[in-house]
Amino acid sequence: MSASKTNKSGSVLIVGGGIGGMQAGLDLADSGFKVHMVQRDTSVGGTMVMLDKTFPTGDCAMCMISPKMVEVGRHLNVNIHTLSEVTSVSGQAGDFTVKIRKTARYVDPKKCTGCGDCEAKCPKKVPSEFDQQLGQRKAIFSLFPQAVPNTRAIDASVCLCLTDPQKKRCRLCEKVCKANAINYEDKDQEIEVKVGSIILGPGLARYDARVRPELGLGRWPNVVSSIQFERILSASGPYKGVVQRPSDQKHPVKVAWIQCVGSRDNHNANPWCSSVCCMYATKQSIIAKEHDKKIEPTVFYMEMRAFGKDFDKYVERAKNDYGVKYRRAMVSAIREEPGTGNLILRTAGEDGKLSNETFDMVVLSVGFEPHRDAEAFAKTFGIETNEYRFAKTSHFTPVKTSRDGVFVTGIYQGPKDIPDTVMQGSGVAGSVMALLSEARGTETVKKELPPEKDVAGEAPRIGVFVCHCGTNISSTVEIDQVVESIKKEKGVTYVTNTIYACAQDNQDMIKQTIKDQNLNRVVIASCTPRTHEKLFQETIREAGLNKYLFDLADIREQCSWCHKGQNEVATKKAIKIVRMAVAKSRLQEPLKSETVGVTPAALVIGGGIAGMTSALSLADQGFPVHIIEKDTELGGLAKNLYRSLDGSDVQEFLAAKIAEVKAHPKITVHTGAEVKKTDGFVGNFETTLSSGSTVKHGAIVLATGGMEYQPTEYLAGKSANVITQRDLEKKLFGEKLVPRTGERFIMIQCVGSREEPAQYCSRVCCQDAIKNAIAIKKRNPAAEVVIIYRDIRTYGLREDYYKEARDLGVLFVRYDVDRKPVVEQAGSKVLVKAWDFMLNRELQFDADWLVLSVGLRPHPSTDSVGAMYKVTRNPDGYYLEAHVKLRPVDFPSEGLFVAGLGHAPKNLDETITQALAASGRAGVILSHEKLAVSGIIAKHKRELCMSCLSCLRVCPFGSPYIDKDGKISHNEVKCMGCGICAGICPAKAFQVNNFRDDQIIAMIDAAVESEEAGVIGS
Amino acid sequence: MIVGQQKPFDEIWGMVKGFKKVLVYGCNTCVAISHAGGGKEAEILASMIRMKATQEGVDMLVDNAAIERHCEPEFFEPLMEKVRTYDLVLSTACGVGVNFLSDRIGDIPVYPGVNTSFYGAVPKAGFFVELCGGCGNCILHLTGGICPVVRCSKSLMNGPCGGTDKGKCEVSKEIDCAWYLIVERMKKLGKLEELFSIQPPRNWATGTHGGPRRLVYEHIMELEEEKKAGK
Amino acid sequence: MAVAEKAPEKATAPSVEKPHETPAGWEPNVLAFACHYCAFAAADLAGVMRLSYPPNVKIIRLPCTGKLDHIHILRAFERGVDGIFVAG
Repeated sequence: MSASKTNKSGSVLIVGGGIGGMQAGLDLADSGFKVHMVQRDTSVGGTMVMLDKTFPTGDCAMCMISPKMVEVGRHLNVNIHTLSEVTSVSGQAGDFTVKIRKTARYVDPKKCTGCGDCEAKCPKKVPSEFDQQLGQRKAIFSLFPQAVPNTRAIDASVCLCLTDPQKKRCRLCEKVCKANAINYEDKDQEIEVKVGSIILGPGLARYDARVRPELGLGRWPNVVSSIQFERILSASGPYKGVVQRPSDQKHPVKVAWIQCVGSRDNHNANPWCSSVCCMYATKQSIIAKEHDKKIEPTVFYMEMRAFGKDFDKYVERAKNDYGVKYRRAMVSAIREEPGTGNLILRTAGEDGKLSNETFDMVVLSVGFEPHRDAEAFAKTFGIETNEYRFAKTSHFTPVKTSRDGVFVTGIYQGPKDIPDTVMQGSGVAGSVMALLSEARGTETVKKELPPEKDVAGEAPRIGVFVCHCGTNISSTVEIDQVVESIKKEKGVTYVTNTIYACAQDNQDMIKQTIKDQNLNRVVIASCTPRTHEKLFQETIREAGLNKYLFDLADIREQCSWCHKGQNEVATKKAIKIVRMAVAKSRLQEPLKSETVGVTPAALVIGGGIAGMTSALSLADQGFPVHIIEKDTELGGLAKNLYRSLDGSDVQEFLAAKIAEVKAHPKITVHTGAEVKKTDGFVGNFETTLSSGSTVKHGAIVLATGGMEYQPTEYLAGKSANVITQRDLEKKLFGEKLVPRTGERFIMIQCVGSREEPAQYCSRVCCQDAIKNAIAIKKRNPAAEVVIIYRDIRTYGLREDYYKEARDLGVLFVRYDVDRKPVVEQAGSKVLVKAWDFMLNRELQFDADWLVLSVGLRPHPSTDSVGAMYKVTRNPDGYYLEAHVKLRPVDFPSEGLFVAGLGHAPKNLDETITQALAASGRAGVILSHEKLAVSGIIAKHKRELCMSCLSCLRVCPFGSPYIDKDGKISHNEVKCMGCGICAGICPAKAFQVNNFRDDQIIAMIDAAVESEEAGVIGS
Repeated sequence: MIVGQQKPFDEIWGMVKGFKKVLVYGCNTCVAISHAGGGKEAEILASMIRMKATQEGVDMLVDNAAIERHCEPEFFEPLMEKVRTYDLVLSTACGVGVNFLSDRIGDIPVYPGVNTSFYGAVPKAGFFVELCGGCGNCILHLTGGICPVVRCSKSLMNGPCGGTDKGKCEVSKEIDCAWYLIVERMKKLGKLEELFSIQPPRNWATGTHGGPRRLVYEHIMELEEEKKAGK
Repeated sequence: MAVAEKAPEKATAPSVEKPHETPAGWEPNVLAFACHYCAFAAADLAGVMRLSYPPNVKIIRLPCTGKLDHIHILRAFERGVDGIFVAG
């Protein structure tokens, strides 16, 4: 985008380096904005880094978030300020001035290489906050092993030197640091930055369950909080993933989870629902069972709030496949059994009966709160909060705070899980891109690089640099032996050692050596490529070498660190690892990173709220947008909605949106139109519409929407008394119905949800029922409302309305799926019979209105649109996103994004958030003039290919395709370099750059050469 | 397409174990597509034989190579000299390729590494299904495009037998009754009444019962003859 | 698909080598193929946590274990590797 003159700043301040802040930061930095990230901790990561695994897929949290952290840490346009807080904000949207106070770290990040020698030597141990007091850390520490930045920090409150007035004690870290990075004289400082917009993602606090002594946290050692249990489960946690009791390290068998600790409780704690505890308890019980088959988990709960995508199925799996017991009961007290450390739970069942049961260990599912100093925080940023100290937002502007230009993401906006936080992260990014569109690209920096040397056809001249990493490698691996041994390798012309290969001075040395020795390939033997490959690739590129002429031999993480004290064998292994890298390096070739142009326009399929929100946000970013709507008018499913749960007028909002869309100069609306076909790939699509006209665009948003289930049960369609919530909503808000005194409304929940063939929660129906029930009761308190439900799922801050309904006298009767209510016509009324589990008997009601809370379904076009774009649908027919946790609006195929009900059932505010997120993600692509294609892709040799279609059928990204000549071609732009095609191709027509078969075979041969003779069978 | 399946390894080992110098010779057309005998599979098989030989203490040299097709001489003739240096060629081509190569080499044994299974389609990756028997007398226009010769277990020509059961064959519940499919298809095509005309007894002489079959296009053959004659 | 989808016959594998005694003190030589994104990261974490394991395991990084080819495994075995660990 051309940067025209503007008063707006092209920088953005993000407060909070959790997953939401990082997502927003990367989206913005990748699309032409400079990002300042302020983080209170010593590392980015937030809460997610503390988790072991995530629901409902069981993916490792650290494996997912670590690459993001590395990306944030290395991004040229993300400036991380750790140990920092914002002290003041002045100015207005587009032009804020922010003061940041940075607390002294006592370690110079410019010099520190993160080797960790100081931490190893530090004699002062204190309980680890990160491990929730179950483990220990040093006074000089890294928050967790994968911390970003990896610069250690000194905790001045416990450091022996810094607590000594003369600063004479200890000073061991200073002595051991070969990089001279320790600075005991470091001071706090204040800096000032100018930004155009502010994103608040300060994260959460957890309810301190010690407030409730009857539950025994802090009193009985084998009662732990859920976050402590998370650390217990973690392979990098205090018990290395072994499930054991803190009191005696015994392996517990009977483990209890107690839900809603600190949540949904007006008296002792917080009134809201924390949204995630039902699911994390389910996850923890499954993972505990996976760690130790003997464990028998029991979850004590009030209501199972498995409202998210595939959550109900996850709970079913926990029950059926893992034998997790779920008991609807309140736990009133926990006592320790004298002598055993076991815990006796006193519980009250649904029928009111009290009982005692003994468990080996108890986990308290503690809820979320706004972070501790949320009040002061709100004052600093000048934003309004709600009564619970969460940032105030509205249903229709879910990521906007009360102050213009200040946005919010994550739990500061209300309790939510990781994907909803990530969605908000991209959503705020989209909003900021729209706000600051004219300032895009004004403050970002770009690296100038020398031209690349042409080394094609030259014999390999490999330079090998063997790193000591302080003493991390050299205390176990004999560096000199490695150097001497590698000198003999074919193709190696230069070998040397270096104290820290990654330190700035050594980087310069490496660059100089490349020139002096005329090297054309470089191998560095140091640490893992996952954190350092990109750094070294940049180094050799700065010296004029193609960055793919580099390989990293990991002799630290995969050698010295795991073979401590075995110097001889570790040295032998290190030599082998370097030889393998050299063998690969010999066969490396310079790779070109192709670029393709981008058509800066978007296609949005679906003209409902999701589609219109996405389109408006993209159009405000400056991109032309085409909305394709099947129907003759815009609006989608929201046409039948009148009020949101908080009472906002949906029809008014919808009318305003439609008018805004129609008036926007950048938006073209195609109603009564469908997509016939789309050709091309990310950045370069061409779509033919049913009208025959064609549109060129660079990104696609699938917002095809959903529809309501058409009920056939409970006399639906057969009795005039039986209507749906939507019909009732129309009567109440459209026709302004005032209920008569004594007029009785019975509502049945989960009609067409949470049962085969729709084994999922439709997420919106509980709130719809409560919204309508409240309206009835407010208009005539003498009208009667009974809601017959399975679990009331008013998650998050929606819980308030559940309470309001109860306070207004709405009756709630629970039913079980095995014992559904029975409905009969009885004259002018219907008779509803339902079993009451509290009273343990059947209840009968005659109702004037039986209102069915019908579930949601994906729109019928989801399947055909999905098939056309080759995006997968889940068994329920909803689009399957690229990654359930961290890529909730992306598809595996690049350039395609999803928003709204086509992805999963969700509320209006969530649809709006996801639509903003889709526009944020699409904005990242469209803001580029050119897209770079990775060098690590599969190369297709057409002359070997026989078009057997194996690749076409297995490629997850759709890069092989049948070309115009009827044979297979390969679109390298779509290729992600996974190499599945190469594995399956019977003609060996595919090879992945830098992972070619000859390179892998050379590594295999190097791994066994000079090994003892083959010992197969001997 | 011809679909093949690699022979059980023990059977292959039984064939090759007495030889000193073996060439595993892949064919990069049909059997490659069915993941049975292309260059990749030849490479894998050669490696497995080498390992087996090491395990059994047999001294044996095993190489692998592959050509486009074993059923046309121009592909393998340029390599013939090299091929003749082996004392066994283990061909992973289909039966056609093994026969043809064997005829041309003559004095070195050519053994099959693959069982030639059938003529089939590939409905999805890794799944092959027989749809034609190569009987030489096609009647698919009469049966809605569904071949009763191979898809009916009894090759019946005039409707199903008494063993048809809810659309499935009495031979196995996993086999669709071809005649059930034919009737359904003909209904869809609006040609159900055509099935009332009785098929006369079939001439099986066009199939394999009448000895090896040949197909001759004289006008094409003439072109090559003319070229050879230098016309 | 109107095609008669009979379950395909499973391709046959060679007979499994008979188990045999390993000499005392014998250490297997193991090669691991690890996906860059998960298993390789796990191997890193093992190092970060200073977990100790026998040094006779070497890791070859792949962009995805889907890239693994039959011939990589066979080649390694032919060269005398005793065990292969594929993790991804």
